[in-house]
Amino acid sequence: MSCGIYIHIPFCRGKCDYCGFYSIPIGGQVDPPAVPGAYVERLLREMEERLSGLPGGETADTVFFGGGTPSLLSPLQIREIAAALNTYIGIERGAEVTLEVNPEDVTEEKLRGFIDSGITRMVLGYQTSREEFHRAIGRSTMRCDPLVLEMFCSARGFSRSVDVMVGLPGQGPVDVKEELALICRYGPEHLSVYCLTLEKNTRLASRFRGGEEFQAGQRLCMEAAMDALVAQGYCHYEISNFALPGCESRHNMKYWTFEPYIGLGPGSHSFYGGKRLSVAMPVDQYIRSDRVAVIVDPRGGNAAAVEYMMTGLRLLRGISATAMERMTGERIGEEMWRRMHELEKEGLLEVQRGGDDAIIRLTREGIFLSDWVIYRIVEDLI
Amino acid sequence: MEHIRNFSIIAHIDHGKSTLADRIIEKCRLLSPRDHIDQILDTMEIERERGITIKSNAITLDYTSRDGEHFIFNLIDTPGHVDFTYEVSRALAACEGVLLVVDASQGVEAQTIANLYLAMENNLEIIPVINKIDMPSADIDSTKKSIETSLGLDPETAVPVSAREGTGIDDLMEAIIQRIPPPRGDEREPLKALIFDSYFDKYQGAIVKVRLFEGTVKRDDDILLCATGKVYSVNEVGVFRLSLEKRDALRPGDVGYIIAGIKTVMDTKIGDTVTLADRQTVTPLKGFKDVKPMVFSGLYPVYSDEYDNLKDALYKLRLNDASLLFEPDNSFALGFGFRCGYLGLLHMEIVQERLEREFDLSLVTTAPSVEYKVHLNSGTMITIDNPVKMPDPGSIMMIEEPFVKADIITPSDYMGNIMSLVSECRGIHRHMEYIDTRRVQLHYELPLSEIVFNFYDKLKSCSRGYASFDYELIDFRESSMVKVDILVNGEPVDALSFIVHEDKARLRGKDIITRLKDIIPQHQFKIPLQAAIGSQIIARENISAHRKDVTAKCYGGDITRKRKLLEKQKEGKKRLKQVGSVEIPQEAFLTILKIG
Ligand SMILES: Nc1nc2c(ncn2[C@@H]2O[C@H](COP(=O)(O)OP(=O)(O)O)[C@@H](O)[C@H]2O)c(=O)[nH]1
Ligand code: SF4
Repeated sequence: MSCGIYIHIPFCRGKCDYCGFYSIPIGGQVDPPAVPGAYVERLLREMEERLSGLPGGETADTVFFGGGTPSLLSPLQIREIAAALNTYIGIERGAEVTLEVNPEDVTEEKLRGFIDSGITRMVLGYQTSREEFHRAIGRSTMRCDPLVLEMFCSARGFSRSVDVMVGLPGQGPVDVKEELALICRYGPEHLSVYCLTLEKNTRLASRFRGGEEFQAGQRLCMEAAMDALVAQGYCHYEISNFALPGCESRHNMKYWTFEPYIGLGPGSHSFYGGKRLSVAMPVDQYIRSDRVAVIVDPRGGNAAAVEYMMTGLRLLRGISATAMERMTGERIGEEMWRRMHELEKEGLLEVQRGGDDAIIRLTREGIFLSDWVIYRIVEDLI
Repeated sequence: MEHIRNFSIIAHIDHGKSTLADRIIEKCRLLSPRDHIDQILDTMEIERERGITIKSNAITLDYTSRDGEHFIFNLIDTPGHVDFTYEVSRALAACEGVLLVVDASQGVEAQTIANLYLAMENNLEIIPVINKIDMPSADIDSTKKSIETSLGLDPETAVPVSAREGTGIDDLMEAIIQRIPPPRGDEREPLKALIFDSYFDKYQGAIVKVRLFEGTVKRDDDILLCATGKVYSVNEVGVFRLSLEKRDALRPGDVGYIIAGIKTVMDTKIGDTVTLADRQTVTPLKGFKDVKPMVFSGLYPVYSDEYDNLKDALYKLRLNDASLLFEPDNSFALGFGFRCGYLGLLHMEIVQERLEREFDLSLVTTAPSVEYKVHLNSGTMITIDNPVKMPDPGSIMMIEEPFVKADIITPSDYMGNIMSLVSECRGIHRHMEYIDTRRVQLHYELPLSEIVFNFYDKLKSCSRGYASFDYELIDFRESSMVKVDILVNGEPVDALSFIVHEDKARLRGKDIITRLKDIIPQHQFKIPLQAAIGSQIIARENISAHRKDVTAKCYGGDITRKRKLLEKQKEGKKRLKQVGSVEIPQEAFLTILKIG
């Protein structure tokens, strides 16, 4: 059986004003900033602890280094981690091994090092190259200027993805089109486009309240992005993801298709054996611990069906009723059909029946209201 | 009997009634610390805070006069608010005299006059007391003048005192002895006692507060309550001291209590006559009325699972407050609750406050309404106190609404403001007179429904707090009343319907939907808000659609979090009332229904 592996690196150079993640800013402490050796050592031990006991035949077909800022890892550290993974679970030949890279770490030397350590795919934390927007959201990393973008995209030997944030304070559809035009010039295989979310308890949320008009503007930005990227030949395959044909993120697809993945490191999440698990420990405690505390998320009887809808509908191709039954053991009941029919009439959902099956997907309007559409479908199950 | 004096103190609020009562009680050496007295005379926390009582309390005191003679004073404390006029009148009927307190720095106020009339109706000896003479702003001469001109009392009979400093209290005590007549009555006659209040005790049932006029009552007597016709066997009689003090018997002139295993205060109607079952009086006391509520509103728990608690709480309150009426009701928007009837606005506020504080309930109250007489085309007449029950306009021939006689006293500077306020409230000016050089008394006839809509607050604010006001129900009159419905997304929200004069329908409808607009959260679609009379729309607004969280990401770690958010959303939805496809937070009703 193939399984995804997620490695969490909860360290950053500084703290971005909009970021609601748990991550430790290490900018001032070590120079140059780096992931503490003790952390990597503990990760290796966690692999031994948690992976060596898996049923035989389990292998990893995707690995994802996320964070935080995983590009703070040195190529050597990555190699160590990959080697350990190989020992405890086995990385398949042709596996997708992704690393998120912040602009600071885009140097020819580092990129080469990452590739040599087995990285096959890199995601550039681009967000925005415009000074005023960069400042408006209080991003702590270096701004990704066009030169960095060019260097990242012209390097060879890995598959490229660029993370773009839109709907920033002061930003309009025209600005979005410009930024995307710039990126598309280099033809990365993949782009993720997110709308800025004002997370509670962040510095950004405390100084900027958003509001009705701002949200309306965010939608316009997102629509501009969708149109621009589709026009450039990208396939809009998930609400916030775009790819050239065949270049979808294999690792992330697991999240939306109910495939198993195992997360390592404090704050990471797993979906394995039909259970959702998380490692709930602060970093320092994690480093000192002998055993990682893995918490099983207590889920009600309908959780699988709810999650299947919640994740599956994010894919623009939609879900099929039979696939859902196969994956979760739950059939779509009469009440749920009724609800979906209602949403269909409101133009938010599309239900295509054929034979014994039905395909259910969000309409363009439904994409923008996805949280609400999903809530309405599953309301009865929760 | 010659040595008994039964009296009450009446005063406009804050003129010093409680302080004076303290001084009198001190003179009788019962006790001095204020907190004890609070416990005796003002029993409820809310009453203490607001400085008003809604119950009539009594205390029996011993006083030795200047000549060394021993007297018994029964001091009866009356509720201090227009809502309780009837209760006050019954408490006064238990007395031979009253101390009518006037604040020397404020002069005569509306309530002073209203109380005076009550005292006169009961043929009581009135001792005017000019209080707060210690204050630099005290104007004794002018107060005397207004006692003469607006109260029609001999100013020379007024006793000047400072209740705070104790000045003049001894003279007042002597005046009580000399001027208030002792009670009269024959011990050999059949029992005739007036119920002026009662309260509920967990163990003993209703404790009935009575004043005896004729005959005696003692343990094991079978008493008959004339209004209900029920008979009870007396367990205990006694008088009110610091606590209940048992006596062998009560005799004519006495003020005390009867305990007779009466299960609820609903059976002990204020103003009723107590007599002996086997030796009945042939002349029950006059003045008994079955009090009817004047103000009505719906009461709903914010959380539907608190319905039973609300029910229990209402039953508990009614144990001690027979004037509180309620019946189960249900609203499409607010679920299961109760329709309640109150004596007046203050009574309503007190009941609601007690439910929330003493019983820890979160409540939504619908707009207060008065009772309308609706004459139908069919020739029948129905009374309606709930807008929801108002029949279709096409079937109505004519509607009558209650009118009150309202007396307002104000410094003449604010006369203009008040006149325009009253005319806004459809008041009919009757006449006015100067009660002294600065102040006028205005007499109006006003629809009660206008008073229910915050009239008192508006009066206070347009007179900078100086105007005082008193009202009394007079009759029902034909008015062009209409029912206004509030529609949210095309669906009427029953709890928000109200009855109003047609000239004001548009304004009030607009006011409510403007407030609704701020309170109903945005939905994913546009929500029209409308106020309508029948099918005619008189005001409209829109809540624009809310475009949410356009495209947040969702990766491995977000799934559990997102699922929990869905669960939370569902949990939150339980606190929302679904009206069609619009969800209105329960709390919204609280805000909207505070009609301004
Ligand atoms: N200066 C002065 N203040 C008084 C006197 N009597 C009462 N007060 C004050 O007037 C206010 C209202 O008195 P209170 O007895 O509570 O009035 P009630 O509302 O009529 O019971 C309180 O602050 C008292 O302290 C008095 O003789 N002189
Ligand atoms: S770099 Fe990324 S994870 Fe780190 S603080 Fe900024 S946004 Fe958060």
